Amino acid sequence: MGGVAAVDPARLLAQPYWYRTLPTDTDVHRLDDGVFAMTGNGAVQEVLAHPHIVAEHPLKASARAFGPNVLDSDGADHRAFRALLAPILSAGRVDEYKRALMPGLVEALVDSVLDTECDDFYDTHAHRVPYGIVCTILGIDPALEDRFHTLTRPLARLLDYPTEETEQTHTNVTELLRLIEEQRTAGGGGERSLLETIEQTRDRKGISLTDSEVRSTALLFFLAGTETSSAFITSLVYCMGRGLFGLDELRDPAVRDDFIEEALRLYPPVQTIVRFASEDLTLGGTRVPRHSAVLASIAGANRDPRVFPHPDRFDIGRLRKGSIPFAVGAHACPGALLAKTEFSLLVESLVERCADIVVTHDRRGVASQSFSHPSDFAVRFTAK
Amino acid sequence: MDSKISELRTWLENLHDEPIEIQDDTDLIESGTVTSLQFVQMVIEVERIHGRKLDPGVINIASMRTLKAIDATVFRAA
Repeated sequence: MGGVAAVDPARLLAQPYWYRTLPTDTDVHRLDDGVFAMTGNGAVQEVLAHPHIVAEHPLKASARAFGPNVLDSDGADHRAFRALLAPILSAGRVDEYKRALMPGLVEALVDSVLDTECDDFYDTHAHRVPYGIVCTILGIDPALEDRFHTLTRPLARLLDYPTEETEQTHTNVTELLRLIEEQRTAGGGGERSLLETIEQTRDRKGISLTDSEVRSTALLFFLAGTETSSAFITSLVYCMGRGLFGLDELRDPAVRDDFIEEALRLYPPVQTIVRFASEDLTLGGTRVPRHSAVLASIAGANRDPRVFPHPDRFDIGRLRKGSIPFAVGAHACPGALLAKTEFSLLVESLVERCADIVVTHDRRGVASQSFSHPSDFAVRFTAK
Repeated sequence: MDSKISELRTWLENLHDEPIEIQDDTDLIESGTVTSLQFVQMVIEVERIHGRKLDPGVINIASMRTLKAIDATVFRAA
């Protein structure tokens, strides 16, 4: 039987590293009636791949806000949603973005931070590259980029834990869906834009999705593609500024990849994933009733000392096996290649153009479970 | 409305440290009576009080938004 926590789930989830507060003698924790938490690497991977632990729950905040969508569906419906996104995230397309789209966005970001010190990197700078990429992919007029950012950031709380559901989040969803439809009708993104590609794929493959479901899929692609990357870019800059690794060494592409993978292990943007038991189950000897919420701690899995010795240590030489920053199973992030390509180009540009990156002030805050990033720190970028 | 709804009302009231008033037509989400996670937990409580598994088609926002709706679609349904 798993341990019973002394705090309620909402208070527990308000703590950045909540998994650390739970007993270490088990990976399966009963927190409350109908709420369980999984903390070990094996247990988390089992939950994310379990055939009777599902993403769909009609009462979940995101399902109520977005309607049927890629995040909150399972089985054939989920595969249909993902099929819509597949062409836009293929290796060939990502290579095109790498050559034609990303460099200008990355250089513009680096231009804007050189010889500056800022204490709000996440709010001021981190979103520039991901919003530029995803707006272009989606086929959104670049003039609307700031408007999309203003509307999207607050509604990310709908996917966070504890969830914040307000009139503003619902208003923003409605407005974003309206803007997406307006942009789709205008057709400014051309036939290779996400909105056009989704419709072509739907029609070609005979996928039965309504226009409303297509728009919701586009909005969730936008939200996931921008806010998770904004969060992780903040983590990357933080790791670079903490002096965990010599900047010059990151010129080597292999070292750079290892650096990014280790930062992803320690600072996965999605720290907690919530799933639901579709029938009565037993997990690790603990009975989990049907309909229960199951919290899977990606952060806990990635710092499991049985898989990663000295798990809190930044060590780019360690084996990556078991690190699951993009989750596993049917819902594993389909944009992982796109995201890693973007991160690598950014690190490459920063090390080429900066003599030093230093975190000058650090209260070691961490914000959010679904778009997690270090907070309350200042960083200085010194140009060469 | 009766004992089953009363039991559910008591469960909802017990989620709060301070006394709250829950009318039959109070929107449980918009009023802040339940959090998003508690809304999910409530399904298990409704099944427990009802004494049988809910038809999956009943678990939707329209059926679960108020005590009145839960009574009509679950407790009083054939």
